[in-house]
Amino acid sequence: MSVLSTRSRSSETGLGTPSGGMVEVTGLQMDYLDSKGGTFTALAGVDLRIPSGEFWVLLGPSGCGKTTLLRCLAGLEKPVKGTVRIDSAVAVQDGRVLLEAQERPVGMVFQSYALWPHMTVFQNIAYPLTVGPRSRRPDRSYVETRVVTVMEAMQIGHLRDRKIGELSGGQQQRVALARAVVAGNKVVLFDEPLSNIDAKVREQLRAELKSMQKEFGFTAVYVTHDQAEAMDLADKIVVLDHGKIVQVGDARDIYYSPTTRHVAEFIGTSNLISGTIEVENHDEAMGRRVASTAIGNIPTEVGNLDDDVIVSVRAHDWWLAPDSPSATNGLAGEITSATLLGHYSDYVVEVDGVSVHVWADDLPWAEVGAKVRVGFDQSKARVFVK
Amino acid sequence: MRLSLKTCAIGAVSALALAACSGGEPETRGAIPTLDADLPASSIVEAAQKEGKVVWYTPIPEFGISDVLVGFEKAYGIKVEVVRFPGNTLIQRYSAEREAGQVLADVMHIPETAFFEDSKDKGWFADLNESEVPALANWPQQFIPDDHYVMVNTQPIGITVNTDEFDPAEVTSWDSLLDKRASTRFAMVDPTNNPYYLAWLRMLEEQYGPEFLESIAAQSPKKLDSAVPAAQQVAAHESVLMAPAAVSGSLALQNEGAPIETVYPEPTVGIEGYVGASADGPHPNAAKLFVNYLLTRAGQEVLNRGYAASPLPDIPDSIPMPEGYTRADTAAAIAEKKRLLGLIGL
Amino acid sequence: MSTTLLDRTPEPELESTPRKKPLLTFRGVCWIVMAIVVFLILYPLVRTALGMLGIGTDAAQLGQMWATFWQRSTLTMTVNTVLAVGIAGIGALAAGALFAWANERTDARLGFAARSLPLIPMFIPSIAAAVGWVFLASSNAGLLNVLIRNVLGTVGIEMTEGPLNIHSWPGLIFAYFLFLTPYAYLTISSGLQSLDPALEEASRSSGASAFTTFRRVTLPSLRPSLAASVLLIATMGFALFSIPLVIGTPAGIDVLPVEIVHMVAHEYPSNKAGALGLSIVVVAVVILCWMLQRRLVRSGGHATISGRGARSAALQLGRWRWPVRIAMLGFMALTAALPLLGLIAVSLQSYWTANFSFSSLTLSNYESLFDNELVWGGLQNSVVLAAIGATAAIVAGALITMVVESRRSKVTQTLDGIVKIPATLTHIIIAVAFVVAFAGAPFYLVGTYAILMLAYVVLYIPQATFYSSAAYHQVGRQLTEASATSGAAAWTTFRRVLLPLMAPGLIAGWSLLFVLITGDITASSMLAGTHTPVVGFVILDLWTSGTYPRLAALGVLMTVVASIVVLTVMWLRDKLRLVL
Repeated sequence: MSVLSTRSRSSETGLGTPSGGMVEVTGLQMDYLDSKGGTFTALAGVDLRIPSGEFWVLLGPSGCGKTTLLRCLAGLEKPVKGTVRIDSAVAVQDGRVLLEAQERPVGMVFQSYALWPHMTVFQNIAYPLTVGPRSRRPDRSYVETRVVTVMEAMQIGHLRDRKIGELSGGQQQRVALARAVVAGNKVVLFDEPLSNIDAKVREQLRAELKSMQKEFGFTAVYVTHDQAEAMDLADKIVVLDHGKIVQVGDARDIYYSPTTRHVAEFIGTSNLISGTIEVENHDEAMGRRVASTAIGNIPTEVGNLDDDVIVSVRAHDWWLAPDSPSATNGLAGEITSATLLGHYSDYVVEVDGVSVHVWADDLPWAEVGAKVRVGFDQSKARVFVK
Repeated sequence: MRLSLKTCAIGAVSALALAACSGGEPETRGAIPTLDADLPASSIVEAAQKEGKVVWYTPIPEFGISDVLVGFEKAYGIKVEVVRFPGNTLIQRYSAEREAGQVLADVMHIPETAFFEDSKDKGWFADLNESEVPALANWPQQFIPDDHYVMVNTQPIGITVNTDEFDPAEVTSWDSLLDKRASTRFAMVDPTNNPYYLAWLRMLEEQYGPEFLESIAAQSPKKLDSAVPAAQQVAAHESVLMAPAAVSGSLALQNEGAPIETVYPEPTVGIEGYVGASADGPHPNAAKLFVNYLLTRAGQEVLNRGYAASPLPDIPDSIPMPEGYTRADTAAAIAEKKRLLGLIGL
Repeated sequence: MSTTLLDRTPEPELESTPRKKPLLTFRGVCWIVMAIVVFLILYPLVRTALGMLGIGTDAAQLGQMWATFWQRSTLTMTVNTVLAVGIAGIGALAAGALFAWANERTDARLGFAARSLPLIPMFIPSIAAAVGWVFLASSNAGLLNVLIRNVLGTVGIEMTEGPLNIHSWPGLIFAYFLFLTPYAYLTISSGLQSLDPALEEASRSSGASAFTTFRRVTLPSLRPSLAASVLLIATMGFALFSIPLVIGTPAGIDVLPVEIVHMVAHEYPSNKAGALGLSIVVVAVVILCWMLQRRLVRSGGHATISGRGARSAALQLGRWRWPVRIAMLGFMALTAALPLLGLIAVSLQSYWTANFSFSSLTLSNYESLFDNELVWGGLQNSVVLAAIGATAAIVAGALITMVVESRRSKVTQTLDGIVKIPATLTHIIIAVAFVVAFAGAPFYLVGTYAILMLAYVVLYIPQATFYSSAAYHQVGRQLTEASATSGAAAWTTFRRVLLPLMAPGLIAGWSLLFVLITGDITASSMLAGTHTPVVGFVILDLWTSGTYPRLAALGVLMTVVASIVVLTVMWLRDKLRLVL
């Protein structure tokens, strides 16, 4: 279905997958003036291309620029450099804003849902169809039909005349989403909409969101700092750090193959141990290049000789066994902390002067002070140059 | 002067107001005398009646106004619109209007001569002649300072006392001002309010020497902005006496039954009232006719009823000129203003 | 079905070139209004400042200005003003702090007192309260004195005058103290509200008593609020005109604001140069206090806002609970109830007398108010001017808030600061500057309603922006952003989202501005006239040349109207949970 629809087209026809809904960002830079008069760079040259119909998550710690990026897409922030294209519309060209927020074909779901308390559910959802240039506004019957259609699709048709204050968290999410898509926006932006919700309800809402996106096929750009949420929802995760994109990939890529120590540090619980690149046994001819660390030598192609490196091994890639005089596997250590976290336990083991987190099943003998042997799968270790 | 009459319809207040607004005949304090039979008619009566109205700027007390209004209207059928403010305010207002190119007052009535003198070359006030203002013929010459303004009455200055504290009969001279009972309980009307208060101070100094004024200062007089608040202080016994006092300040209180009375030690001066008619005012003929009315015996009776003295002899209900009344030299008094004020500690 | 969900609304075409902007956008209107307001604030001040430096005034005027500045009487008046404000201010700070702490942290809290105390200056106009105290505590005829003397007489103590004398230094300082305390209370209580109670809880759980905690933990953490309080007390005190006029002048105590007003309004010709000379002193004091405040705030070490607004358990005061409560109630009685009773009592008399008899009471003074053209005209004018002025100010305030909040830049922050100037520089300076700038050339607005109206809007625009900004923040940024991302331009967002949600706050602000303008004395005394009377002008006129019972009646009327409006707003506030 083409974006260039004529006025006479009815909303019932429409076949095939929606085209459009693609988001492209080139060289985006965003600076703020901080309180001391200097500039703080929130986005330092971001390039991104989100295909239509996918669910992409912007992930990173506070201050990484993910929310700024989202708001630049929405038009709520104005970048100093770069280009933003949404569908086939150019919103920002080389730092010049061509489309204001209200002119962009995007919908947005806010952290607080931002439903207007003085309007009913129907009025909230119908709002995008009743604003904008007069010549473009559809007539009343179209609005009525369209809003009802969308509400039914989200199973909130019965809430039509309710006031916002009477809705549950889940219902509010659906109303907010309905409002975001009612005008036919193929791109919907989400600004951490679940961060204020209790943990149990959050999972449920997440599932609903995921299924609605699949069903309706809009492109979702979702911001969160919660990595579990990112991994649950995303087709692709964009990890940001200090205003730059450090990695784009699906959950598996991010988790198992982090490209930088920041990604490794942010996703999952990793042990980060410092080391140096050496030649094993100092055997220049036959020796492998390894990262020499307190937990052993890890073969690696990364970096140059004598570089300082960080080696990352996930906590659950370690094994834990009781120490015995005959044990030869792994490294000797002592448990300094044991915490039950549900179906697994987090043990902190001191090995050769470093403390290592080991996730393992709950072991009754593994108490604080117990002598243990620990080891890890070398193939799972990642090496990053400092 | 008002912004809009539509706001009359605000709340319950309007009911009360409408009743008051649409009031009936203004009350008079006494009978209205007929116009002097022996005076020739003014040449401008008809022209004045055609104009139908005259605007009178005056500082006389509120109770004194309605008799004059009713009297003039009875005599000629012309309505009088009154704008009542203290003399200084009237001067400010008239001057501001003139400077803005407006003339809103027909008759200017103030207790000073300097304003009329200063405005002579500006031509603000019309010359008065006997054909238009026939009552001038009977008016004592010494009360006509110039062609364009006339002294119309005088309010002798005395001491107003609280009768619970002082027996009026015992107040025979200005020495009563130095009475022990009046220490810190002396209400003094701001002498800069009009030149005649300053002239009164000068008279006291001439009669009794500057030490007299210094002794007044030693009484720690309380300075009040005008006669009415001062009189109220005395009526409430917050102060025991008030000076310089014209009876007009306290007459209303006296009539309400307050223990207050005014006495006139000798010698004394008075607050002289002067009138002029605006040249090229909104109702120039009615203005001159009104001035004429004020100078007739009938007009003098209604104007001075109960509180002022007339230059004409034997006007009923007026205050007799006190023994030892002298016309004040206001120019000299104004020149010495700073020194006189310094002596009494203000 | 699912694909139809994403049907775009039928539209002619989607351009990627900028749309043609209409000539006058909503944003444009907001900026124009902002520019007009900034002009109205800055032009008079700049012109006055230039005049002080000798630009645009002739040598004689300049000479007179400096001559007045260097006069000995100026020094006396300055000393008097500093003494009155200083001594009363210290008392006000102490009382304000004590009451604020009592209401925010202890079990002596009185809900209605907490809400009403800061609003007391709005309930009873300061001139009405001052006149009320004259009727109560004049050394001989004061009704309270008569009462006390009668009571003392029954136990054998005979007094012929006193014991209270309002027309004295103690009386003046007392009146200033009553006036200034609500302002101290306001700043300190809002400071306490944003203070983390955990700090004090830590002190108490370490064994410190209630008062020790207050002295050693709360007070130091309140530095910024105390500094703001000092600044507010100084500016309000130095600009205060009605109380020293009514209470100080008859006692022979002359202060700067009274003399400034006298020079502008009662000297003929208007002595603007002299007024400017005295204004230099006032401005110098205000700037001094402002610098002091910044020094106190900058030295850091003050507690940060916890942001959670958690209420700690109220401190148990034990045997001190009721004494503190009685002190608060006593204060409210002294500052509002007693003067009002004094006014009512005198308003029912035919002449002011100490011999109060129930048989001779009359309503004639109230009737005469409506008979008197000046009074009735003044009342009408004030109501109309206040209605229009409050509307203009609130609308301007709302549009200015739009400008300031839409984009936080150095420019908008500076403009926001400029809009607050009339509050920081004191009303009296602004009013004098207005006379200098607009009364004569080239505007010639002297004696018109226009100059009054403009002055009111300028004087109260800081309050208007305060209320509209509070209302705006209560709505929350996300609700407006949601409107933008839903396709609405600025005007539509304002009309359909902001205005309906800000309305309760704006209406409350309107009502309070209405009260402030009708009760305004400073601008009214210098800019209103016999042709354009307003209540402030009329009540001053009655004070100088009218009868006290009539004056009292007008004072009662002013208080009743103001109280009704304020009480209505307070009731609405509780109903609609407004931010005020």
